[in-house]
Amino acid sequence: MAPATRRELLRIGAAAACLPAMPTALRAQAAPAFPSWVSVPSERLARWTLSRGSDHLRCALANAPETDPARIRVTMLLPRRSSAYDIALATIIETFDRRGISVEFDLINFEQKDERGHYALQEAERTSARLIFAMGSEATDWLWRKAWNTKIPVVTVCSKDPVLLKQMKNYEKGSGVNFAFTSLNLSLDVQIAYLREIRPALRNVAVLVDSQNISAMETQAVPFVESCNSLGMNAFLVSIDKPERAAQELAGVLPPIVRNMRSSDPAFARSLFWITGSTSIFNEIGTINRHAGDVPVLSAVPDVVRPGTDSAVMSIGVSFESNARLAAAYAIDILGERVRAGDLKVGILSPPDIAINFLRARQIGLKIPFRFFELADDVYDPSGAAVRRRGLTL
Amino acid sequence: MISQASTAWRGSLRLFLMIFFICCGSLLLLVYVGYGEVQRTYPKFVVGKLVAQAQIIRAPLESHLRAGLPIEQFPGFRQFGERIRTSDPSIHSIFVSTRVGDVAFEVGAPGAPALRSLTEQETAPFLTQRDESWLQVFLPLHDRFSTVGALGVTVSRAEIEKALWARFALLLPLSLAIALVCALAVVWIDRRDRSGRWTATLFAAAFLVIAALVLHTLVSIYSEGAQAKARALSNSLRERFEPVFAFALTLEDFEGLTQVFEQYRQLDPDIRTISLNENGIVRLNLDPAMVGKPWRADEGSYEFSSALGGEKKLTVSVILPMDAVIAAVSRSAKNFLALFLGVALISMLFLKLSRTLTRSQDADASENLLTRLTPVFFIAVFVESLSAGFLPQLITAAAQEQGLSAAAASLTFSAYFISFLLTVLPGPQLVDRFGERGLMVAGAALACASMLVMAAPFGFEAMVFARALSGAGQACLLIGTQSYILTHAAAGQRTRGASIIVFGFNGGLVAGASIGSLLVNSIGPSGVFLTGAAVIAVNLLLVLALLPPVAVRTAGAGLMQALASVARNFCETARSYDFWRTLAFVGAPSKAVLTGVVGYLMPLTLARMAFVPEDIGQLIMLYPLGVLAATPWAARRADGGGSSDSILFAGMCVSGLSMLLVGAATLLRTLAPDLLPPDTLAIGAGLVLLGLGHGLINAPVITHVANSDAGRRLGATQVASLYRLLERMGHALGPALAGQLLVLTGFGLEAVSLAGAITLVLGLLFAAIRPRVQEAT
Repeated sequence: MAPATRRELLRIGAAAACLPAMPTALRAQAAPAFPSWVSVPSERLARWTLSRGSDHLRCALANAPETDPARIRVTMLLPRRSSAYDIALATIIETFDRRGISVEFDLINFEQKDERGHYALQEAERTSARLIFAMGSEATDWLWRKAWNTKIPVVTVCSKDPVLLKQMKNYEKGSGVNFAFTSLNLSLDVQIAYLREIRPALRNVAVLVDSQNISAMETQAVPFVESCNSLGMNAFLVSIDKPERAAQELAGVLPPIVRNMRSSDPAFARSLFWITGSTSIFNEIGTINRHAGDVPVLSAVPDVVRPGTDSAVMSIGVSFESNARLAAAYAIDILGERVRAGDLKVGILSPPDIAINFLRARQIGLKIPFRFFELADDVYDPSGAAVRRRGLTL
Repeated sequence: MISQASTAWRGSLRLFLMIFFICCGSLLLLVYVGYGEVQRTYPKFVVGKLVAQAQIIRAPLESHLRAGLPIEQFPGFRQFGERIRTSDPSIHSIFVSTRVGDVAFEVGAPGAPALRSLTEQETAPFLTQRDESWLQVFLPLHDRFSTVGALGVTVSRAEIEKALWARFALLLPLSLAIALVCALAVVWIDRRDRSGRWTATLFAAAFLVIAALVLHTLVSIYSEGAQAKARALSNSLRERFEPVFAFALTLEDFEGLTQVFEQYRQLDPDIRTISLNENGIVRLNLDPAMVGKPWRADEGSYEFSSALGGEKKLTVSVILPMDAVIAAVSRSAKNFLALFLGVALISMLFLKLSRTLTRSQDADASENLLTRLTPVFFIAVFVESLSAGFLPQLITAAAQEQGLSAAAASLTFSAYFISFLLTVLPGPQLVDRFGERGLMVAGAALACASMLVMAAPFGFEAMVFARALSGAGQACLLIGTQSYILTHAAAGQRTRGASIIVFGFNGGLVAGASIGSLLVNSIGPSGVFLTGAAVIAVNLLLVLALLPPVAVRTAGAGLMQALASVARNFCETARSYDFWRTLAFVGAPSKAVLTGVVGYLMPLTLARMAFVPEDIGQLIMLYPLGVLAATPWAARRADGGGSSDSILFAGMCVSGLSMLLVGAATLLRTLAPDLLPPDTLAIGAGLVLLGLGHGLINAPVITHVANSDAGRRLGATQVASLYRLLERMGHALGPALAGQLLVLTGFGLEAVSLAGAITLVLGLLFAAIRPRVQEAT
């Protein structure tokens, strides 16, 4: 038998922690492991029991025994494996736990297949699930198309802006049906307002995006550029076509852009780079910084602000955790019958998650608005070391 | 000889006791009003301080909540809380309340009440909650999605009041000592100089000494409050800047720092400036022009500085102007001035009474009676005027509580005057039947009952009934006083007797409005009515003790004969064009303005303009001061052969213009806010002018009707009596008409302008429509 990987051991350990009365050796054998398409860090599972489902695409997490009359059932529909979904799931179970809600999450991977999706819906009805979490944009899209009139309330999580995706008409009103949407994106107005606070006379905005990442193009980059231009700015897309050659492509396109910016803005007081949620782009933050010179590089993705110099100077966006917390709060309100899903307007985070790297800020001579500093969840000091993480001073 | 000495000693003792009690009452009332003022104003300083202190904890707490962590897991609450409590022992407790009302953390003593409603404060920067025991400030706590709880800071009101009272308690023995010295000095002087001119001087000096001490106490309390607030604000700023230096950052890493200062000023507009200084040089300041200059706090301001971390010697200084303290103290000074006027009038009366009682054998009986009569009538009006600053608002609120329109409240005022009129009508018969003293006792009893009903929470209908009772009671007191004057005053004392009515009415209004509107702040409307009931009960005893009983004249004419007489006189005057012109264009309208505009419309509209009861009472008080100032001059002019026609016309013009001024002040100020004086000044000037205008009318109008052809036919007394009766129609109609004007103008001061315009038109009609020459001559 092959030795267990570190991750598998952690999973087993986490599940075992739920069974304090059992001998250690037995616990390791008895507790099932997560299937390959989902995972939660063991430290978040102290009070949870994992059980396998009827097939390899289904499992359940419960924080109360089946005999508990207060236990409710919630179905979570996932389209595939994603580290973002893992973070969201961990945050949601943590939030339910803190609020003392006895719950069993029935996790079903529908692999973006219709028959599997319908099966998940039937199972939700059969097991009297009180709510469905639609995890990720694909699950949200499928449920919205196939089950918009479901009787079971749906809360979306880790999904892109439903207004830009034409699922909702606006941000001000609820869906009117049994769907409560949340958004992984900040509204464009808010994004631009924050950027203008940093650069009040903002003019040149270069939006870096992976053209192969359709959802990032459609829900982030293109609408952002259009909004900026409608406000009289000179915003434009800088796209790479081959993610695997991102570094080379960026090295080719960035220098002429910076030269162009310098011609209209010699001090770079009215220019910036804006990185959208494309992994291939933000993995090349070092390359971008090298070519951007003193032009501030900011991101909509909090993960791009990191220790050291290979970091965006600041990020203003929504983390998966924050979005999941909002979705959990929506779900708890719906389950508590304090509100109807269709009455909830699109859940957008406010204030956004802000991360600041003062090493980069000093290198490019950028002054940070004090308000942003006070709001920032992650702060890296002038040596590039983390001094505040998740809002807590280290 | 021994008997004479004994009588002199008894007289001196009586004078001493009278002066001592009057001085004591006045000075203690002064201290009480000062204490009431500080109780009302000081909490504002406390609230500002508590908000700043709460902000020290809120910043890290919200940072924790935004990270998605539960309130209960916030580390360091105890350290933060204890640090604040150590620096300010007046804080009873600091606690965090969750959305469902559970207390997540608490430092200090338990027992503070929870926040009553979190919903209310979700959009507010902070909320204050107070009851009899506690004063609390709550700051809402937000995570990224919602309001999750509140941070409360509690101080004990009892502790605050104990500390404040400790400062005022020192003034009590001092007041008693000064009253004792004053009384002894008056007695000593009285034995040498019986003119009494030193009494008023001594009384004024004693009053001023205590007033100065009270003001000094107020200044020192408010100064300490302002300094404590500045210190809390400065500490709060220091806590917010601390992470900058903890993370090895410098101020150069940031922009928008002055926005933080602006936030503080938005929360507390009293802040003059906030400055961040490095080695004594201004680095950041709310005034950008100060940056780079050496730091120097303004003179006449309160400064508190906190040292920040970092290598450079950085300090953050908060400057609060003394203006806030001066404004609070000047309001007290204004209140004291009003109180001084009120108390001085009362004291004058009783000092004079004490002299009369002391030397009763020296004075003639008529003089003696008039001196005894004056305080009795004065107190009756005084009690009635105690509620002048707040009665319309109180009645309107009661009417609205029962689903009636605000204008319905005017019915209550009309009920008073109708009842008054119906009692005055058979006045002579009532005197004949019950005698002057009996009628006055009945009047005082009715007024007392009215006050008791008003003090009880019986609702709107009971208020109408109480006002009707009060109208009848006041009428009985007036009839009794008039009859005493007519029956017992010597021929040469009649004019002086009439002045008792004028002085009693206007002086009573001044004293009542000023004292009542100050008392209502501390004891509430019910307390004022109960005080009024007690005072009028004392007045009843004074009637029995001071006024001689008069034999009841049962043989007088009956009511029917009296009504027949009124009807006969009415017919007789029907042909007197001048009589009716004067009544319709001058007499009745000016009385309608008195009851409708001064007594009803002004307090209501001023309250809607956010004037507090004390200010309303003091503004209303200006009206009788104007009347008192103009009456002697107008009476002399009218008696001295001046044209009463022109005096009355001038009175109508002045009163009409004064009301236009009051109404137009708001409008003009909106158009040119920097050029015109504040509303208060314009309204105050308008009311003084209105009083002057009515002062020009009140006495000359009687002379005028007496000199009309009706007067010549019926006799001056008969026509004056009939005129006074008919004039009261104006009294009764005034509130109802004013109510209509209020509805017409949407309850604005424009209603006063409209009344002014109507008055001017009536004045012009009075001047334009002159009687035929033969009638006039």
